[in-house]
Amino acid sequence: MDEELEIFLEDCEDQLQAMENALLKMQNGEEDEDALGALFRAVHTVKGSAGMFGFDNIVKFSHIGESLFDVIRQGEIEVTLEMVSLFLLCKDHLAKIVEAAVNNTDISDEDTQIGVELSDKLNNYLTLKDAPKEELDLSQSEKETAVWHISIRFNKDFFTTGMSISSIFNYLNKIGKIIVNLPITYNIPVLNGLNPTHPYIGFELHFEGTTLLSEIEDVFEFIESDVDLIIFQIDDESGYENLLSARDEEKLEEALLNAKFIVSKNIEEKTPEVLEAVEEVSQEEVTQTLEEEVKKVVKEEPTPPKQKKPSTTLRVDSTKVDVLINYMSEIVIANSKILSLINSELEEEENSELQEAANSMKELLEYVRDGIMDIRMIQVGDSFSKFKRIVNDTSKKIGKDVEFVITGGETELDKTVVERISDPLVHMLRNSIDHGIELPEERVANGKSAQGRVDLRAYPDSGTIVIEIEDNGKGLDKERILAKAIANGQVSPSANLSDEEIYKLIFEAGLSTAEKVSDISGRGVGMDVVRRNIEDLRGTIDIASTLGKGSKITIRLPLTLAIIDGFLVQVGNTKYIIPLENIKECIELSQDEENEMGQNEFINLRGEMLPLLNVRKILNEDESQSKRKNIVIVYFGKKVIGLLVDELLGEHQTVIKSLGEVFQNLPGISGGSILGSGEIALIFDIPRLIEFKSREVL
Amino acid sequence: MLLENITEITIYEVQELQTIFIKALSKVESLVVDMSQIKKIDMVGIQLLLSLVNSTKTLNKTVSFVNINDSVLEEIRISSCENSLGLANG
Repeated sequence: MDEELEIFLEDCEDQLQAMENALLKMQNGEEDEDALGALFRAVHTVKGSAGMFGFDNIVKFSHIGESLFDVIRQGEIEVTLEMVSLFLLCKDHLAKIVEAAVNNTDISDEDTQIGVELSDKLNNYLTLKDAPKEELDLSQSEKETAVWHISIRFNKDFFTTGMSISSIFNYLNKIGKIIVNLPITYNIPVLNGLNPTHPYIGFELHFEGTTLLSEIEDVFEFIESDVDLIIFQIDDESGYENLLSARDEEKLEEALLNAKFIVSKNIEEKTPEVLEAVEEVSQEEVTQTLEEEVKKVVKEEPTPPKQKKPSTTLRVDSTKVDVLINYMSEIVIANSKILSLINSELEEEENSELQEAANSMKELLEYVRDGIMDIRMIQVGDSFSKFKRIVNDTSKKIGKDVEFVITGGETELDKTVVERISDPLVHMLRNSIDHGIELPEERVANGKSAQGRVDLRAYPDSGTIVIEIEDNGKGLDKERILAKAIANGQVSPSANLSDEEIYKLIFEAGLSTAEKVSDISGRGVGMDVVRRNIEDLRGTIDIASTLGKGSKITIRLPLTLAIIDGFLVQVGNTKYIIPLENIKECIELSQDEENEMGQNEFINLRGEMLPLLNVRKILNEDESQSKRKNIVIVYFGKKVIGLLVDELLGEHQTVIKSLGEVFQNLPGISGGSILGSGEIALIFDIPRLIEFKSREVL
Repeated sequence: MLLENITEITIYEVQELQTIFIKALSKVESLVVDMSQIKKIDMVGIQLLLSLVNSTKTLNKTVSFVNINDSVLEEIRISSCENSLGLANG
């Protein structure tokens, strides 16, 4: 099977699984917007991908499902259990026709009949809603037709992928119409210089349709890594300028002028004589060479053109890296067991060489660990740039003009973190546009520029990665948030909350101050889910806002998820691990300081007040075995606290293990780790502990 | 020239055809390619024909493609390459 078809099949299987999960949830009465959204997205993706491969029957069948799910998502139709059962049958049928298409086998008559019956049933639901659905139809017909310029160039391996560009043209003609297709042939060398399997051809299209940019990009989704695409609306003034500068090594301007895609602008600067002269010289040269070579080739085979620098990247299934990390984790645990055995079981003179070997092993393992973890690190830019179309679509849909600026795209983050942060970011971006940025007229009336601005930034900061979403919209109205929270009973009327705490209330479930629920902010995950997702990644979320000026959401995330450098401490009989990246320093708590401290939970650290968190007290630990007391000063972002512990046991490579469902939500504990001795150590969730302490102090 | 024993112009045949075309072009001023045996073409094949057209232009020679099968013509039309291949009226 072709590699692309294999990816298609894998993708379809994932989508169909997502469909099934969503449907099963709905069947259990857990229907929510997430499930509906997942259902819609899954069938939409299957349709789009199938379209690119020219699997018309899949496109046709999934299109009906997609339309129906869309109507359901809009709240036009109430889902019944009967419908869920029908959808499950549709999912099964879709799986069958996908399999048949991929294996290039015919669908049995029986299955064809099932397909027809299922389509009819789906259509029945759709037509049922047609009568009162005037409004929806109206909006459909009002969808503006736009003409897009699509410029396509292929990467050198495109032809070997087996993907057919004509399927893409056919599909484009299905979702809209290619008005002009200008093949770019001037880059194709003469026969002697041609590497026939290397793509030199390109295409410049004018495509008309009611499609959004994202929908056009979706068409190319399957070949996105093999093509170089530039898409813009033809009335976008800077579109052609950008296109010409992006393809400046080509004679594209001339071709576009000839095809009347553009009207002469810069071409006049180069006089026709000059152009002709240049052309004559090059033509002469080419003629000469070609004639010489034609003579040569009768005797010998054509020599392939020089290969460009070979690619140094390697595409690897990420599960292979995950498997490596798992093994790595086990090796780390086994090695710490060896180390602890050496230290405890052997006499000093016996163990020195062994210890040396084990220590160098430990060091090497750290290198390997860092190397493997580094494979998982990807730049956030690729993921961020996908948000452009979301911002674009969202702002257009609600008539807002938004400039979207991404900075720090080169910042690296663990692949899993990047993937899991994507949905929350989309939600927050949509919120910023929907609730933050004002309508152009409103902005002008308030003395602002008509165009709003949303910034998405990423940068590393003290062992964490910070992602910020900042808008220059109307900001959060803290009075309204507080009033709503009090009305909901989430906050006591007498509570004295700081601004930041009030803003953070927007992450509480059920607190929406939106005057009207739009399909943008009402879709997908809620702000409480956003917070939960970020907390699951051991990250934190903060919010700052100025009424009338805008808001800034700051997300702090750890660099990786699987193995961290930890610092082992003991309190009572339990061992705890503090992520090394959060530790500022360790100090001993002297008897004098302890006496001075008394019942207060803070000490004077070089003239600054340092709040202390007494771990024994918080976690009900037994009394200390040792006489000494230590303070580990930890920080996260700008906040610093001291953790009062008994013993400091030193650095420890920590493999983070989940504590399982029962202990999953232990406050202040993010996971566990197995020590070399077989004991279990609990890993402190420093951001949570700091937050807990700050609340206590307030 | 009739393309003998070749029924498809796809990624699998282009290398062989490239040599055939180069040899043919070295012998004649005007090349007529009889495509009647060709049942299938893909973008790699179309690109080879375009390279042939470019070569003839550079050498001041001519090439024309005749007896093109409907399915082949359709594939060429989808990618709008009929003009570049001199098939606009075909």
